[in-house]
Amino acid sequence: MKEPEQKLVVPNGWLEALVRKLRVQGTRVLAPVERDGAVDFREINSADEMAANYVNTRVPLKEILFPRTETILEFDQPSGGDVVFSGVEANAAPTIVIGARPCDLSAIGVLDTVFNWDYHDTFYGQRRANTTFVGVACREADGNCFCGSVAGGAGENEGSDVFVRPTADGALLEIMTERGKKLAQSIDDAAPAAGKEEPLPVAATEERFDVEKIKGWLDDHFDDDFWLDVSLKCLGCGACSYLCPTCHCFDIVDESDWRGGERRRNWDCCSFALFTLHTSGHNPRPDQQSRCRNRLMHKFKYFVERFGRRACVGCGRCIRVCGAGQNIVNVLIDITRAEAATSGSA
Amino acid sequence: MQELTAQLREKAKELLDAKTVDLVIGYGPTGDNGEMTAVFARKPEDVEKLGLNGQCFRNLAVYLNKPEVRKQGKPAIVVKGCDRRALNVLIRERRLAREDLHIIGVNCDGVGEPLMGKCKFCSVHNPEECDDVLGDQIEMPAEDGQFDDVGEMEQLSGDERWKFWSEKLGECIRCYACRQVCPMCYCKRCVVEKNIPQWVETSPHLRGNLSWNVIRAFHLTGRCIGCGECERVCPMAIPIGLINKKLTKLVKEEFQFAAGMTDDEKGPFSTFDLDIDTDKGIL
Amino acid sequence: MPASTDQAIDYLPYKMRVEKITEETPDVTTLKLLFDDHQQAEKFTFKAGQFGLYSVFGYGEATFCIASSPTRKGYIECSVKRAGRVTQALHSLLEGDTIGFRGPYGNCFPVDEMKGRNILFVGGGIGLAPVRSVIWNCLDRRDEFGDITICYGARTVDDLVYKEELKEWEGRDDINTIFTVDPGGETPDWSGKVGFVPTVLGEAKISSDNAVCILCGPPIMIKFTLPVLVDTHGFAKENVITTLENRMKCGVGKCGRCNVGNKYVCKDGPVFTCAEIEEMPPEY
Repeated sequence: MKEPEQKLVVPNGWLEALVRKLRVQGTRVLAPVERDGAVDFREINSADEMAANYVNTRVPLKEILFPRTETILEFDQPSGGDVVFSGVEANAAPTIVIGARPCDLSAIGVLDTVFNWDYHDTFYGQRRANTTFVGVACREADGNCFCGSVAGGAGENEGSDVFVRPTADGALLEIMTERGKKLAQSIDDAAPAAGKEEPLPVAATEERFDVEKIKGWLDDHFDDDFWLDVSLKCLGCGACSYLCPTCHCFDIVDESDWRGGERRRNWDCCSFALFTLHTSGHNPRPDQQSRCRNRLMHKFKYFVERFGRRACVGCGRCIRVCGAGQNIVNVLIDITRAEAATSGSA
Repeated sequence: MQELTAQLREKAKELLDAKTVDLVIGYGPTGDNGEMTAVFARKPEDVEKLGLNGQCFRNLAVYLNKPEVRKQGKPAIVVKGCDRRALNVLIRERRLAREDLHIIGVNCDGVGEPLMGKCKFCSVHNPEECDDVLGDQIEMPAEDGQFDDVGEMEQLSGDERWKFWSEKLGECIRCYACRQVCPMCYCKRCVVEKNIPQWVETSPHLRGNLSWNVIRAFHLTGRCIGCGECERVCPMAIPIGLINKKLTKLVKEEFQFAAGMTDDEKGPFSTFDLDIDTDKGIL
Repeated sequence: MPASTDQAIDYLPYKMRVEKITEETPDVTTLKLLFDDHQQAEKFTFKAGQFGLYSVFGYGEATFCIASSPTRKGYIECSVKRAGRVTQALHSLLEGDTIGFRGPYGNCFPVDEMKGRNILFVGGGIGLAPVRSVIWNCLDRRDEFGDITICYGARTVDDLVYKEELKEWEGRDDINTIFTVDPGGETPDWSGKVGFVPTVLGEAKISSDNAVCILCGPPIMIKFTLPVLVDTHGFAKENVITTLENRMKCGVGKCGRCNVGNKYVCKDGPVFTCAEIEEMPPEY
């Protein structure tokens, strides 16, 4: 939890007024919208369009900054072997995102790290610079949420530019960043918080496993039958990774016809057999057990060692979407038990 | 149901004890909610993880294609009647040899709550040609109207269908869950993964998504047994089963054929007979 | 966290022109590439061991080390074995055609730290390409290094790359050379050795005193050569330096496919000592 730069109280109706104002200014506003039973971030013109109840969106927040597919270069192919090519601008219109969940916002921190730890990715960076995130505390969780075990829980404000804590007659707004301050100027009827406002209680997500102990077990169990047991039921699709708010692997492909074409960046996934396959036929991760192990190790060990934070925020999407019924919480609980057994016998 | 579970465990233990098989692929409850997912019993004590109930909707036949599972040795597999049809196709296509497989059939009066669509129109409640069968024979006639939803789609104009599918397939993220869960998608290198030449664009834009989903359906024509797993696992809720169903309907009408009813059937698109195919071709 | 290079990456390649095509073997071709833009050519620098992504527009990008030496300015060379979609396209280019190149990426061989030391170069097949960059780098600064030995092998005489340069190296008296082909791969007029690289290297008189070894080749060759270097000739694993060649798409530590444990081959490598590799999980 971070200390806000500023705290404001607003009465009910503040959001409707804010969206109206932003739309009049011509600002792009994205918010969770329900369509055919699925809630996803879509452009809205009015706060009425927002989903009334949602635990989280189906597609994670990451897609706003790191789309499933984007053009990164264009070329045309006249005759004579000369190719003319040029870069493209990231589609980065100023955007206000309303209604993001704390887990997904925490995941943006992971993406910030990846896309900037060394080289600064311009496509990601331009969108990031032009996007303001209004996070909302979760009043409800479902059985698959586990942010309490890996991240700050349902009331975590880190990652938001403005964080909303609903109250009985409005909301307490925590202004977290400069971008948030700028947005707050468009919020009518905001008064400085007196400090006695009572936010409605947030969803409880109890701690179900100990991430430190899990890391300890992973350190010592690269080779273990556990990985076979875990991986046999995995079908090797990309649903868990594509809908994971922190997974960031991508592919770069050319698509063209005889006139020319484009180079695209697409989501990719370490569960696919072809992900690491060399043209020679050699595959450093040749079976599903090594691929499942890499995915888990990456989130709970490699990323921690490299960047000092976990690459899992407990949103639970991988559990909800897995066609094989794989459940990462159960896997992590099993690791916790295995860890207890090894440390007990030592 | 508890009785069936006990019978299954006993059978599985017997098979593993006698080393008749090296593993039993079945269902078992996992996690807090007891969701029935695949269980791989490799040791006699593992059979306690096995179970059977009305939530065993998954089609486990897909696991017989996975090299990691094949590596475990000779399998026994728990199948419902619909899943048994998938085995027939795999045997007919020489993916599996019947004698390399121990089949534990379960008579089934439908799965899911509410009852899954496929179960209403099911004509194979009692799997045939199994090594063991659990449960009482089921007498349950198939309802009419199996292809009603396809019929409704056919009533729409071309423009309306284009709008519908552009919207739905535009959502596809190319996670390939549909392919990975399909027992018939066993190609070592899927056509979408072949890049010399690049047959299908891999980007998740409408053009690539249309190519992918149409070619997927074409490859399943006359082979899809309608288990509906592709549609169930689609994270974007695309009604891909409807495309398969349209082709299943066509195959039924044109060739009076349904896939996977026996293991020596001749599929309409994998058969060539000089006496029947009398069209003058290009030669 | 490692230090940041603090550069922007927009994945836009340099525009290069194929200046010269040399067919090394039936399936390996060397492309000499010139910058289209003279200013870019002047500003461009790299170090031996670094790699880049070469693109044929419409086919995609592929990763190779730069096979020419940083001491030879104004151009780069890459040697490509025909194997997949992009390498096939690279093989069908003509002189004068456009090609994209982005890089240089990754770390490099510690050429400056090798000053005053004896150097053993060991290459197998197309694996000579990254080694060649260091060889010429050292030969162009010959005075700064001790004894130089080049041990190179391929499956057959036909499969030896850089044939003209092999002759040149063989003829110099400031280099020791050991060239070999696998048994059965020799021709009647082959004057080199016949035998696998590890065997031939095991029989050679090599001193590990004040020496460093640069070793590149197919994984199977590395697997059997390393014990010869360490056990027979007494090299410390810290002094045996090689490259890893995991698949890459971005080259800049983001796309996620080249990782071996918590290391990114594209950023922490591609150059590693065998001691470092021993510490990694075996996913390369």
